[in-house]
Amino acid sequence: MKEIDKLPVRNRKGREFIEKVGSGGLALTSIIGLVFLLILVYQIAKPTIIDGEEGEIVAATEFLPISDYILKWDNPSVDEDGNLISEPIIIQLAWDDENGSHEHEIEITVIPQRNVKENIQLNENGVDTNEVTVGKKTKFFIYSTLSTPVSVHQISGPTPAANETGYPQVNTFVIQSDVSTVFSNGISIEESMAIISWCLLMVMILVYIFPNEKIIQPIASISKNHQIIRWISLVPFLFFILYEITVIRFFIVLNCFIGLRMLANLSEGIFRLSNQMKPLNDRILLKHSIVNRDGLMLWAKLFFLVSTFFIPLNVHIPFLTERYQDIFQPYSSGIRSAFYGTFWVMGIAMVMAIPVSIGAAIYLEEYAKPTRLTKLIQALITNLAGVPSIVFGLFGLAIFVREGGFGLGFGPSIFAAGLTMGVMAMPIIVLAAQEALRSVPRSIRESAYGIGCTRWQVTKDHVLPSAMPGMMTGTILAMSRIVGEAAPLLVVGAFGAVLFDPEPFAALTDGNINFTVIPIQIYAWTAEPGHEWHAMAAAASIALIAVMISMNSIAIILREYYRRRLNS
Amino acid sequence: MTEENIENDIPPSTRKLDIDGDAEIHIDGLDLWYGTKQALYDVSLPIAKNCVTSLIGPSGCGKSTLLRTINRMNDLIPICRYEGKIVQGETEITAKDADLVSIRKNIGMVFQRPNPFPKSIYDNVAYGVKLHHKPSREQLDSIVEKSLKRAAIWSEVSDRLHDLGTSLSGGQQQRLCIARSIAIEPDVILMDEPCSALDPIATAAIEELILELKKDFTVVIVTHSMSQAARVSDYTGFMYLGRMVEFNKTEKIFSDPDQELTKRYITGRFG
Amino acid sequence: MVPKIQFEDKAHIFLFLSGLSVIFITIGIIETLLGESVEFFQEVAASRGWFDFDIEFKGLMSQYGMASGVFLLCYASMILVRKNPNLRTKIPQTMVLLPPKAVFALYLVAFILFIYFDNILLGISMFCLIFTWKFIADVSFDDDFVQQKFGLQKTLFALGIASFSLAITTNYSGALGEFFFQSQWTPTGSCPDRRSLCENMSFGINSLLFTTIQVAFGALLIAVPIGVGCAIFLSEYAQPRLVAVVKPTLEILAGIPSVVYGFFAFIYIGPIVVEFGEYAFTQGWIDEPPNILNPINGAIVVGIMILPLIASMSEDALRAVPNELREGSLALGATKIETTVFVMIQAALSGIIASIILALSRAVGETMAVTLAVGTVAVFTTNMFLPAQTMTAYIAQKVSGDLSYGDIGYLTIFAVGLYLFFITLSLNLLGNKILTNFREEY
Repeated sequence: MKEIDKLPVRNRKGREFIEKVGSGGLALTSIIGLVFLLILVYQIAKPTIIDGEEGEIVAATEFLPISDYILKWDNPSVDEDGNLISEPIIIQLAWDDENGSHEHEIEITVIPQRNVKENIQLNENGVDTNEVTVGKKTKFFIYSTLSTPVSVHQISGPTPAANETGYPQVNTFVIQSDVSTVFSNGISIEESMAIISWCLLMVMILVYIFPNEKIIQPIASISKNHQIIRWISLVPFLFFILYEITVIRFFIVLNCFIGLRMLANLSEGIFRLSNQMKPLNDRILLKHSIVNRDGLMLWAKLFFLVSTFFIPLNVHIPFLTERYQDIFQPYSSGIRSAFYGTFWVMGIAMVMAIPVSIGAAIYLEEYAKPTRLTKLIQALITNLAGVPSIVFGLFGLAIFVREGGFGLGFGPSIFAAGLTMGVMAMPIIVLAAQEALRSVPRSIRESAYGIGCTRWQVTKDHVLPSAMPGMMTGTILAMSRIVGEAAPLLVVGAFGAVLFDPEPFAALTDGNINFTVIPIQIYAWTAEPGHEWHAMAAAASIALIAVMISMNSIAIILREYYRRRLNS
Repeated sequence: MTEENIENDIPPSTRKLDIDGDAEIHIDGLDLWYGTKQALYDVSLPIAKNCVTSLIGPSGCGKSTLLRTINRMNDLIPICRYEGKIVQGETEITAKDADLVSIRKNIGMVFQRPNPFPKSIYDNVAYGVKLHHKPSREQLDSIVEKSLKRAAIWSEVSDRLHDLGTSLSGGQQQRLCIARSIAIEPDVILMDEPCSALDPIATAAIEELILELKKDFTVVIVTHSMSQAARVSDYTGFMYLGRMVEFNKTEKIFSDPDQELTKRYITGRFG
Repeated sequence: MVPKIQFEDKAHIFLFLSGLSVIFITIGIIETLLGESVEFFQEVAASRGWFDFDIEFKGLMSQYGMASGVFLLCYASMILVRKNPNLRTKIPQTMVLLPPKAVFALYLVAFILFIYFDNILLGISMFCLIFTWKFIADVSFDDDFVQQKFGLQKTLFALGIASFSLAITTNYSGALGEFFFQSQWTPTGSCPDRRSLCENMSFGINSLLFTTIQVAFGALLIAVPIGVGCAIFLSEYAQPRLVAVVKPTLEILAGIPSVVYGFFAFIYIGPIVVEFGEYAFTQGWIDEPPNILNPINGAIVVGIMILPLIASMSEDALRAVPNELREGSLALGATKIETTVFVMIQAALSGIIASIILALSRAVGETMAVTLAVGTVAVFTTNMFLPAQTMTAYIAQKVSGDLSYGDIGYLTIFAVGLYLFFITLSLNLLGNKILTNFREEY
C-alpha cells in the first residue's frame, strides 16, 4: 500500500461533477454574450416596426360598470369616392372569460367628414359589430361591461396619427426605401450626365478586362495625347467648386475622374508599346504596360458597384437623404442633416488626422532614435488612446470652439467638430499604423538600404507600400469607431434638431454653424417622450450601424485585396 | 549511406520482448496517426519494473510520441488517434473509457523544459497531493519534505520553501518538477528529454537522481544523448521512423546490437 | 533636456513635427483642463472669502505651505549633498561648523517660534531645518554618508508632501477641500446674478464620484465573471463551432456605438429594473419606489459594453501562458477545470487584472449610455434604484444647455473633467504597467 494512499481521498465522482459543472458554466458564460447581443438587436429592431393603436380596456367593476376606451383617427382611410387610400384599418379585441379566450376583429372606415360617430359595445355576448364608420378627427368609444380586461391591438392600416396618404401603416418598417430606374421619371440633364459617367466607367472596366482589337485601335490613335487626357480628368472636380455637392454629383465627378484616368493610363501604355514596336494585340503585355492598373481597377470596381445603387437603380431612402426632423409627424422624420453632418465631420477629421498620424507613426518607427523624447511620445500616445472621449470634447471646446484664452474661436461648428474628432482619432490611427509598420519584415528595409536609398526613399518606396494594407485597414477601422462617438460632439455643441443641410465651412464664412451628427440625433430622439420618437431613434441606430458595417466591410475588402496582392 | 537506402533496410518493429523480472507496463502493437500521417508503426515493448528503460533514436522517430501515449497526454492533440494496447497491471490505459485522472496519477511525467507552476516551492510539490487527497497540514509537510529529499533538492531549498518555484535555477527547477511528480507516488515516471535544457553539471545531478529513483519507481526516459542512455538505463529501445527497431538490455545494445541499423546509429553514422 | 536632432531630409522635419504634435495635443488637453479648473477654484475661493489676508496665511502661503516648503528644502539639500560630493568641500567650513552653543541657541529660537506659530508642522519644520543643517555639516566629511540616513530623508519627504497636501486642501480651503471632500453638488443654485457665485451653490464632487463608482463597479460585477468565463472557455475549451459563434458576437458587441447602448438601456433595461425595484420596495429592502433612471440600469448596460474588452484581453493573457504549465498540471492527474482554476488563472492573473483595470477605466469614462440611463440629478444616495448622475453625465448635461463662457457653470465642467482625466489616466497607467510586466514574464 502506498504511503500516500493512506491519506483520505478526495471524492473522484465529486471531481468529475465539478468538471462537468465547470465546463458547462463556462460554455454558458459564452452563450450569455450571445444572448445579450440577440436581446439588444431585437430591442433595437422592434421599435422600428410601427405599431398602431395598442392598449387595454380596464375591467368593469361595481364602481365602474361600463369601462370605456377612446379611439380617434386624424385622417380618413377612404377617399371621396369611398375607395381605400391604403390598407383597411382593422383592430382586434381579445379577452378571456370563463369560456376561454376570445378574439374579435373590427374594420374601421374613416371618412373625410367630421363628426360621424359610431360606438362599439362589448359584453358577455361579444361585440355588437364588425364594421364601423367614423369621421376623421372624431372621437369614438368602445364600451365594455366585461369584468376582465380587454386588449386592443391594431392589426393593419394607418396608425391613428397617420397623415393624409395613410403613412405610416401598422407593421411596416419605419425606414422606407424604393428602388426605381432612373428613367421612370423622365431624365434631367444631371441624371443623363450621371448615366453617362456610369457607362464610361463600365466601358473602361470592360476594356481593362478584355482589351479588344476594335477598341484598342481608336484609342491607339489618340494615345499620343495621354498627358492631355490626364489633365482633362481633373476637370470634373471643378464641378465641386462651382456647384453644391450632392450625392449624385459626387458620383458623377468621381466616375468621370476614374474613367478618364483609366483611359489616360491605357493610352499611355499603348503609346509606350507602339514606341517600342511591340504588338498591341497581346493582352498580357498590354495589361502589364498600364501604370497602376490594379489600384485603378480596385477603385473603379468599388465606385461602379456603389454608384450602381444610385444611378441606374436609384435606390431611394428618404429617411437618409431627404427628410429632416418633423416635429409634428415623428414618423415622417429623417436623418438627412445628421447624415450629411456625419459625413462632413468625418471628412474633416480624416483630412486633419490621417497625414499627421501616419507621419507621427512613420517618425516613431523609422526615424526616431530611442531617446527619452521618443519614449515620452510613445507613452503619451498609448495613454491618449485610453482617455475618455468626453475629455477630448472638453479640449475641443476650449481650443477650437471658444474665443478667449487659447481658443481659436471657430464656434460650435462642423469645422471645430471635425478637428476635435481628428484629434481623438489620432492616437488610434498612430497605434494602428505603428503595428502595420512593425509588421514589415526587416529584410525589405535592409535590401533597400543595401542599394543605397536614403531613409525617406526606403520608407516611401519600400516600407510604405508593404505597410499600406495594414495602415488603411487600421485607419478605416479607427474612423468607423469614431463615427459612433457622440460625447465629444455633445460638448463641442452639436444640436439635437437641425432642419437644414449643414454647411461644413460655415465657421470660416460666418454662415449658419449649427450641425448635428447621427449619434447625437439618436440621443436627442431617445430623450424625447413618446414611443414614436423612440421608433425613429431605433431607425437612426440601424442607419448608424449600417454605416459602421459598411466602413468595416470596406476595410476588410481592402485588407483582403492587398493580402492577395502581396501573396501572389 | 543516404536516407533513402536506409529506408529500404528498416526491419519491421521488433517483437523480441525478453526482460528479466516483471513488466510494469506492456505496450502491444501500437499504431498512431496524426491526422493521416502515421507516426508509430506496430510498436511493442515491455517496461520493466523498477528499472530504467530508455528510448533512443534520431529526431522525429516517434520516441516522444510513444512516451506521451503512455500517460495519454496525446489526447490533448485533437488530430491524434491510435490503435493498439497499453496495459499496466489490471488497467488498460488505451481503453476508450479509461479514467485519465487515475492513469496520470499512477504515471507521472517530467518534461523537456522545466515547468514549475507560478507558485511557491512548497505549493508546487503539494499541488499533486492536494488534487487527489485531503491531507492535514503535518501530513502535507512531511510529504513535501520527503519528496524534496528524494529529488535531492531538499538541502538547497529547505530554508526557502515559500519562494516562487520559478526563482530557482534550471537544474533546480527540473528537480523540483521531479519532486512534484514523485510526491503522489506514481508507479512509473516518464521523462521526456529531461536534461536537454540543462547545463552539464545539472545534467549530472539529474542522472544521479534517476539512478536513485529507480529503486522505488519505474522510469522511462527519452533521450537524445546515447551516452546518457548508456549511463543511466537498464533497457534500451532504439526507434527509427516510428518503428521499434531493437529493444534489449542496454549493454547488449551498445556493445553488440543485433540490427545493422542500430549499429549504424550507435556509431554515429546518422542521426 | 533638448535632444540634438539631425534632420536627414525634408521628410524628416515634417515627420518629426507630426510626432511632436502628440506632445502638443497632450499638453493642450492638460492645459485646457488645468487652466479652466484653476480659474474655477480661484473663483470659488474668492467668492467664499478665502483670500482675505490675515495673520493666518492662506493657501500656499499658509503655515502648512511654509512647513512643506521647509521640509522639501531640507530634503532637497540632503539629496543635493549626497549626489554632489564637490558641494561638500565647497561649503565654507566656518558656515557649517558652529560651536555647540550656537546650535543650542538656534534650537531655542525654533522652540519659541514653535509656540508662536501654533501650527505643529511648522514648528517641527523649524527643528528639522536646524537639524538638517547641522547634520549636513557633520557628515560632509564622512564618505559613508551616502549609505546612511535614508530614513531621515524619507521622513522629510513624507512630511513635506503631507504639509503640502494639507496646505492646498484645507487652507486653500473650500475650493479644493470642498471639491474633493464634500458631496453636495449644486453648481446652479438660485443666485441673483447667475454669473457669480453665491452661498447657495456648493461644489462637493463626491456625489457625482460615488455614482460613477457605483456604475463602474456594478458594470465590473457583470462583466468580469462573464468576460473571464468567456476568455477561459475560448482559450481552454475551444470547440470550433462554439468559438465561431462566440468570437464574432464579442466583436459585434464591442463595435456597437455607446449611444445605441444608451437607447437600449432606456427602452428595455430600465423597465425591467423598475419591476425588480418595485418588488424590492414591497419587500422593504429599499425605502423609496424605484425610478426608471437609476445607476443599476447604467451598470448593466456599461457591463455589457466592457464585457468584450475583458474577454479579449483575458483571452490574450491566458494564451500567453506557455502550454507546458497546462501539460504539467494535467500530467499530475488534474481535471481540466482544476488545471484552469489552480494553475492557468494564477499564471495569467496579472494579465487578467490589467484587463479589468483598463475596462474599469473605460467604464468610468463612458458618457452617452450613462446619461440616458442613469439620470441627471446629482445626489449622493445608496439606494441604487433612484436617479443619480455620474461625472460624465454632468458634463454632458451642462453642455447641452446654455453655456456662457467664463460662467461658473462652464468652469465646473473642466474641474470635473480634470478629475475624470486623472482618474482614468491613473487607471490606464496602472493597467498598462501591469500589462507590460505580464508580457515581460512570458
